[in-house]
Amino acid sequence: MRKIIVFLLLSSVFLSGCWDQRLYKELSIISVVGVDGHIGDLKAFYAYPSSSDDPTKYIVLEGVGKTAREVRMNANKKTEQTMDIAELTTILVSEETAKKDLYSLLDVYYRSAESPMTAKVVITDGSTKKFLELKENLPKEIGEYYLDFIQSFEKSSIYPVTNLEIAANKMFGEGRDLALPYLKASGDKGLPEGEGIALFNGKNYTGEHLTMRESTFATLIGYGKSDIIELAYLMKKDGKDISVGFNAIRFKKNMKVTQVGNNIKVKYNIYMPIVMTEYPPDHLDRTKRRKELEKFIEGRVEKDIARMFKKSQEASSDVVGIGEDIRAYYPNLWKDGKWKEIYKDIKIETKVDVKIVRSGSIR
Amino acid sequence: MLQLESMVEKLKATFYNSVDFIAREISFPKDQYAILCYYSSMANKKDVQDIVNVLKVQTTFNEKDWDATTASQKEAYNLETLVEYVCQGYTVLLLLNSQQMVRFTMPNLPHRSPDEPTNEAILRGAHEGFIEDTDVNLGLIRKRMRVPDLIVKKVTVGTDNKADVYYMYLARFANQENLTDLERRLNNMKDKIDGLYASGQLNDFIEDNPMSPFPQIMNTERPDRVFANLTEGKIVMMADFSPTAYITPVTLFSFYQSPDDFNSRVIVGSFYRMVRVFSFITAIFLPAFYIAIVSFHYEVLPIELSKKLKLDISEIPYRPIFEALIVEIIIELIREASVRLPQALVQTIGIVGGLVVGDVIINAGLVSNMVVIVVALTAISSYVAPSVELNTSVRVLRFPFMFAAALLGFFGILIGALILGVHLCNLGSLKSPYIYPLVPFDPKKTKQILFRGKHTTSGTQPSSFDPRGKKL
Amino acid sequence: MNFTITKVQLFVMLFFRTTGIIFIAYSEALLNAGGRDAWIMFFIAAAFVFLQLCVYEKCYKYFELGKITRWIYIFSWVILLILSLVYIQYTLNIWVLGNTPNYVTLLLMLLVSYYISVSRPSTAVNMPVFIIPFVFVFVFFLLFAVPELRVSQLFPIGKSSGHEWIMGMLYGLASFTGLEGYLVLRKYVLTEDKMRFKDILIYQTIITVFSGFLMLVVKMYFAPASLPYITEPTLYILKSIEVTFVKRLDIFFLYMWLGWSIISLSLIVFNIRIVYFQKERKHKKIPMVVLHLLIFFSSIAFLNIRSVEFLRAHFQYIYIPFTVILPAFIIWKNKRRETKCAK
Repeated sequence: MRKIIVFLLLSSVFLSGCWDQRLYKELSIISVVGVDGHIGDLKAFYAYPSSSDDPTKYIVLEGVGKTAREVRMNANKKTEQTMDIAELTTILVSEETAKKDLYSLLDVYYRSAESPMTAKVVITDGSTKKFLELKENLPKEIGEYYLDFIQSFEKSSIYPVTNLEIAANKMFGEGRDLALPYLKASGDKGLPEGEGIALFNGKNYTGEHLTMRESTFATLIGYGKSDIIELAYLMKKDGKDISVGFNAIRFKKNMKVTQVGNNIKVKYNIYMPIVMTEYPPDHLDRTKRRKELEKFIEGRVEKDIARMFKKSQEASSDVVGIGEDIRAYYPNLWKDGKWKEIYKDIKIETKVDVKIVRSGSIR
Repeated sequence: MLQLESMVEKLKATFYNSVDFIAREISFPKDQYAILCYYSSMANKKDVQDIVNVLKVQTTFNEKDWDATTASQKEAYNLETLVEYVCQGYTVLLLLNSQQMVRFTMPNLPHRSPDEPTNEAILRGAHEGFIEDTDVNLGLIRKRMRVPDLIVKKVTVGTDNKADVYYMYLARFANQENLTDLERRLNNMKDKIDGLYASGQLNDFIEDNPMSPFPQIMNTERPDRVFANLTEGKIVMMADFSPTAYITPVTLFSFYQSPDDFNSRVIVGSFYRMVRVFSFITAIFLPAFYIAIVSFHYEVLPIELSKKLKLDISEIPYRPIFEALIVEIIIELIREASVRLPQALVQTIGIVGGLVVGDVIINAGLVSNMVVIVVALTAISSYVAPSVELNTSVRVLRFPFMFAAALLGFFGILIGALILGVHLCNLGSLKSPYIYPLVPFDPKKTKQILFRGKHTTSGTQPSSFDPRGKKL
Repeated sequence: MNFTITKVQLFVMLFFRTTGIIFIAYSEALLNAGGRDAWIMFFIAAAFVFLQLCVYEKCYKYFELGKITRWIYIFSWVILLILSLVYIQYTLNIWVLGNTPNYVTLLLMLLVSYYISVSRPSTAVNMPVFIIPFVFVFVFFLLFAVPELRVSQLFPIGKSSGHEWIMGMLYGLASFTGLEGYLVLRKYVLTEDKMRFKDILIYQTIITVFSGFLMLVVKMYFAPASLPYITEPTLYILKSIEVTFVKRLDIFFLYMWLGWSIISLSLIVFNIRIVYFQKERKHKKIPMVVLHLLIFFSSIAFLNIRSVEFLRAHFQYIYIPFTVILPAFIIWKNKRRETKCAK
């Protein structure tokens, strides 16, 4: 009797079991999603793998609907397999869409436990469709391509490290605004190209983005150095164009906050030892030559930083997180919920100290 | 007085006129009549002749202990004892007039030389192994242990073939409780067993839980291993004429130690021990883990790996569990076949099984590359354990885990692992905890599972137990 | 029940009993309730708990349960078991097993707990040892989040209101729930194993560092405004970390936490077992079967978002009555009785 009961129990489990099974071979892995439009009239594009033995081949599925979930369900109707977004690497959001509450668009990803928080969120110039329907054949699977693309920018300190989770965190946080990679389609080939970072104010995209060099400095001041920092400037001297290229070895910042009347004054002292990577006139062993060069670089960097802060203040997007420091260390200057208004008018000064410490393998 | 003629007849009849039974009359100075009886298949004839000559001389000079040589002993005549002696391969000299008999305990039983056991090969260290002869085996142990307190005792079990079971221990170290426990179990065995055919029968009687997949008695054919275990206070059993020694109580981790560890350098020895302990985990969990990932949690894989896997498995017609089972069964078949086949053919099986079947089955699209990799890795890991009985147990254990993973993914594996953990905690070997030093937890000893210390520092060598012996 | 343990085993048990089920979630509740200074409250609570343990150590001899107090404890533990199981099952449903029927997972978890509860006492005592390596793995992988942590999130301090301080302290203490296990188990420690205050200090430091680390990581990782929306912050952090070989660390850790929790449950059952079998009882297995069936049916009955949210909102009130007031009362009473007898 006991054996029969055990047998029945076991067989019932075996027959009806595997409730949560999602056989990997029966799923289609969507690695890139593009979102256009706005809630109520949403359009999404999914890179759907079309060949079982060539991962680089895919077709773009289009879904239309009122909500983010509905869009996905509609797109899924066009496929024979179940679309699965657990391996999502990149979410492309078009500029116009991001201007209206990015969070509510992404809520569908935050709420489901399957979705990966490591996916990158990217703002695109114009519709996301053209970022998926690339004319060139990519060397890799498209999701991997975008992931590596963004990560290489993160490694060279141009973009801050972001992902879905960090994005949500920044959208809720007050002392620092979200900064997402901004891509545009380049040239006639239409390949994606990095174009600085998109500035956010709270949950909305401000419509402003920084240039590449500005975003490098925004990342350096706000997040610190990643693996490498590469910079290049053109120096005009005696009517000749001299190319100046260098890598920064460190990027040390020191922040001073003072209260000037009703306003706040922030002063950054930046120390940046560099190694020269390009300088055709040579003779870097001469102190005078070095001093001259250092001064030139200091001037250009300060200018870039000032421009970056100007842009971010105009967009009222605290991209480097000055607010966080003020809240933590100068609580008397901080007013809950009012930071954005204050930030617009604070005075930011930068003093850069560049030092050539290595000349490269020639003088 | 017994009649010579009738006596010879009677003896032959007692031994059912077996052709190899010899009962021969010889002249003997003291008694005139004597019968020498032995099995010609088991007696060492030259030695017997020598002793008879010595006895003749001693008797002629009328020495008091005329019967005494190193291998002979007189006693009163008794037919039953005589039969017993002859059956054991002794030679008996029956003196008819004085109703006495002298037994020569020098059987010449066939046995091979103490070669290295093939299934417990090591790289360095002694290359001797036990053989099918108790005296030689005991000799191999005594040779290493030159102390008087190595005690050997004997229990005779089995009504059918009257096999002897020897057990030995070092009086200094052995735990008295363990000893009485073992004696109780052996005596219990005495009543219950008809004949000791396979020495493995010992396992079932001595083990705490014969139904457990884990061996609670260590088998070995290596005298150096026995020696090392004796010094840890363990008890060693050997059945008559079996080359296998049974060591108890043992811990799970002692199955993962090999004499190689102690013969090689400290770092090397520790490294390989870590590799082995790690292999225990992969051997049990790897296939289950694979199945759980491809049928439940593929999202744990990073995208690069995930894409490769997807390419590999998307055209496979079966569920992952069946896919894995197919390959598992093929591997088990190859293993079993290569054990049974004559040595010369094993190579063929390896090639046919490994290369042909493995390659073709993937090309045919029945199973994926990935599952072959996983199962092959698992098989390799399960063979790493230096003990044969443990690696068979480990191989069997992975099947329940595979089913659990196929049903419930990681959840199934977790529940299985917890049940396995509880089982291991409950298990004892002669009531000593099986996974000491994890249970009872002894943080200082735990590192010895993975590392072998220097021999120069005392207390750094892994020993499965305190000689004092901890009880559950 | 007849068994002895070493002091290491006692502390290992206490550690896993305490951290057990709550460690992936308590930091969220604590940080929300305590406001900006919550992390300070936690460390103050930890210091208080250390003193409490020292007092326990002084007075454990007087901790003899009477008929009523015994049943109060058993009853409270059973309720705790049920609520914990409801919470575990709810979390499982959300994170991984959305479609598996609840009774299957509950039965399997209780099967393990039952198997432990009918095994020898030493099994229940020693099961936590298997989890120890995972503590290190857990901390190691959380360290991958360090680049995302902002020290400035800890400041400014001194901004919490009075009410926040009270609630924060309650939650801070509640992260050490299960301390009464010390009193229950203390008398089984081998007499030759001398318990020193240094040992208690080491134990309390370890558990404070572990829990404090988890909490500080959460505090420094999340913007305070986003925290109220996140139920299991630690898992969420792990979910957004990618290491080269594993993408979704959270899934592994969810199961690690589950194993941890099941063992924690089995330790609560073990406490019940000790207290129940203090008196000689005829049946050894039947009470355990009844207990597990009771837990099974009650947790099925209470399994919904309402009871989970109720649990999250009221968890902090368990600590004071059961680990401070009741033991103090029992110790006081027994001490008085003893002095009376001595006279």
